[in-house]
Amino acid sequence: MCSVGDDGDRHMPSNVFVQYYDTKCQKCKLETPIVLLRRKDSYCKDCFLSGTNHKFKSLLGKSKLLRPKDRVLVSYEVGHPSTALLHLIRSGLDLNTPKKLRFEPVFVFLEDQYHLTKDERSQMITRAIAEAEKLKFKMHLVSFAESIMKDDVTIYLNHLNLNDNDGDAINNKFATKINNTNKKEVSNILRRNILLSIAKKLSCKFIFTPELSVDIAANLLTNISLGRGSQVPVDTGFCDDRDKDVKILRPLRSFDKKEVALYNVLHVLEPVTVRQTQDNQYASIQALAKQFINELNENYPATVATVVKTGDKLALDENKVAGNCKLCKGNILKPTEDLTSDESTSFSKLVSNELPDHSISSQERYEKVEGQFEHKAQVDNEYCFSCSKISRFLLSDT
Amino acid sequence: MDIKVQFGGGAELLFDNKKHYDISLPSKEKPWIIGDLLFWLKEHLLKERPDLFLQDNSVRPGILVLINDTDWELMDTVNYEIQLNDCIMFISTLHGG
Amino acid sequence: MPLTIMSYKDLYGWTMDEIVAEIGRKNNCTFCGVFRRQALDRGANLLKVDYLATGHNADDIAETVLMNILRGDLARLNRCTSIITDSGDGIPRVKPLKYTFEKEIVMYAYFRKLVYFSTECVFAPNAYRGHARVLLKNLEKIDPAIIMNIIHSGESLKVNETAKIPCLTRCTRCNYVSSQEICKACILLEGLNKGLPRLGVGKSSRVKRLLKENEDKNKSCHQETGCCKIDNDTKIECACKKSIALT
Repeated sequence: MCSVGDDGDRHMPSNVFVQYYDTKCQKCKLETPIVLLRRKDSYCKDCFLSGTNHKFKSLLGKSKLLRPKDRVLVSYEVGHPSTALLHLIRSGLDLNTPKKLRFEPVFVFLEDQYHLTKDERSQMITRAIAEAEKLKFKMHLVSFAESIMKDDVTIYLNHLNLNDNDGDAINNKFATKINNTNKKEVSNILRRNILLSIAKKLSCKFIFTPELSVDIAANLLTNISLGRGSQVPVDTGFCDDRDKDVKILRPLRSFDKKEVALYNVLHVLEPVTVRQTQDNQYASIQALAKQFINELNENYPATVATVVKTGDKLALDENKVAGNCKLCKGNILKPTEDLTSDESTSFSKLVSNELPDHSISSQERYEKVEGQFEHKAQVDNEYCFSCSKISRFLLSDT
Repeated sequence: MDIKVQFGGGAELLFDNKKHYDISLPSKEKPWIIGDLLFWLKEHLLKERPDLFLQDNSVRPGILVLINDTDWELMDTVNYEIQLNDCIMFISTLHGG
Repeated sequence: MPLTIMSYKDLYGWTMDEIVAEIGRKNNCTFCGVFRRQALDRGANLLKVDYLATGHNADDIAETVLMNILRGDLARLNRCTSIITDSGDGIPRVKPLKYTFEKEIVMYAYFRKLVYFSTECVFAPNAYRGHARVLLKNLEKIDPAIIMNIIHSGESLKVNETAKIPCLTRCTRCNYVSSQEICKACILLEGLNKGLPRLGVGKSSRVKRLLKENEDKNKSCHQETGCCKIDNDTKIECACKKSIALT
């Protein structure tokens, strides 16, 4: 049904090609542009590079969170974003101006590429170590599978134990077979917990994760679809401060794929790349959200930026928080007077399981069922809405 | 017409793991445009996973294309007319982990 | 049950067919949406009811949440999951079917052998909302619980900025409750009647400027001689030397 007051297409697809041959960089207005960003902004090489650097530093600076000598755990993932991030950090540290970056980065590769063969994984790790070394950084290594099996984190250098059945490790966490969506959801939660452990072991107060704007947008949609709307601010914002000791920051969240890829090309940096799995968008909610956002952004180029901005404007109502979820550490909302979707589902379940008693009138039947239903909002004090659904399958919480 | 084609960011994995190709495009009636080159690459050099390189009549979103170190979006994308000794680079942003 | 029929033709003098013929297929959702809302409100007032109930179901609400996120419409995001909303004229709107899935409604109608008609809007097959709908249906394919999940998310969301709560007043032309001096419907109608189809589509500040420009253009000394020239200043002097004051 059409929404009342709908605005039709506000976001116009810009398939109109504009001649750029004789235009100049829109920043310095002097040089010939070499790149077009967001389908509308053209920059020359120098302005693009200085703009990218500036954007990175200002995002960190604006937050006023990092102090000199703070140790930051940089979570490395194969691909363009991390390659760019490492280089941005190195160039920032090497500056001899007041704008020099003053925190101490520590690098870790939490390896979980289980669709690859052992050989491929081994090569990938070797390349990752080399990439860091080239920039005079040391790469720490942690095995995701080992960490969840042992329930403890061991940090390695130079070498990681790889097993062909590492991909099955996550299955051992569950009492029954679960679907891909829940598996990914739990994997993400566990990854986060492991990174926090690593940070604490390496005395780091912050963690950098390499999400780009498109990842933020896809995560936002995923969270909404999983019922994690109240966690959107911490899950997709610049800072995740659920842990009292370590904050997780997302310094690349205003960058898009093209920017980081071009940054790497101009600095002659080749990211570590791996074989991709066949994407099936129906495999999980996470995959669907990612595919949907990418596709929609092609036709409406402002989509990703708009979704990210929407996420920025969502906040946590401190007054409504009753506690923290045991599993994801997200907030559990206080029960309210209003009827919630949660309750309506329970009510529906109650009614659907009742055999209708035809010896009484329909009005009496209705009153009988209503009387049986206790208007209690979420009673669960341990898990948030979404985790309470998964917790049934989990063997234990970490 | 001699041109250079380069692959990076993981795109080389689809082209026999080679990053540099020197190519001689056969002469034809109408001038060669990038769109034509994409088909030619698919026919002659693409070894696997065409879905990670092509979509409809263009590259798959996520593949950055540079013509002589300049963004092809500044040059009419698939309709750009290829010149002698042009260097065309395809960088994949899809091969991350 | 008594049925009152309101029509755009009766209320505004234009049918949707005529509107689309005039403005084309872009932005026709704006017209239809605004006109429909007013029509409902006028009907509610006419019948002197206490509440106005609409048939929005769970799928619709979930779809709206998704759409408002995709378009960054925070004001609507804040309101769209409420069962009761206040429209400012004393007649609240309620959505009693908020937690009922579309599937349940269809099955209910089927088992009760209810006659209903279900059509696609012929004027806006490519409305932006369609994207949210496709996403919702695909998500549902993976896990039908997402509909309730999305509604739950919508209910737990809090918008950071204090959404500008507009001061409500009455439209100077038709007396409908509005946040602007002239309500949206009147502006759209003015546009239609004066052959300015883009009037009213977009920001109200721009609309005010356009209206003013248009008014100025049409000011005349009421002579039939076509002697008027318009200055860009506050004072206009007609070529026949009769000065015209601007209101």
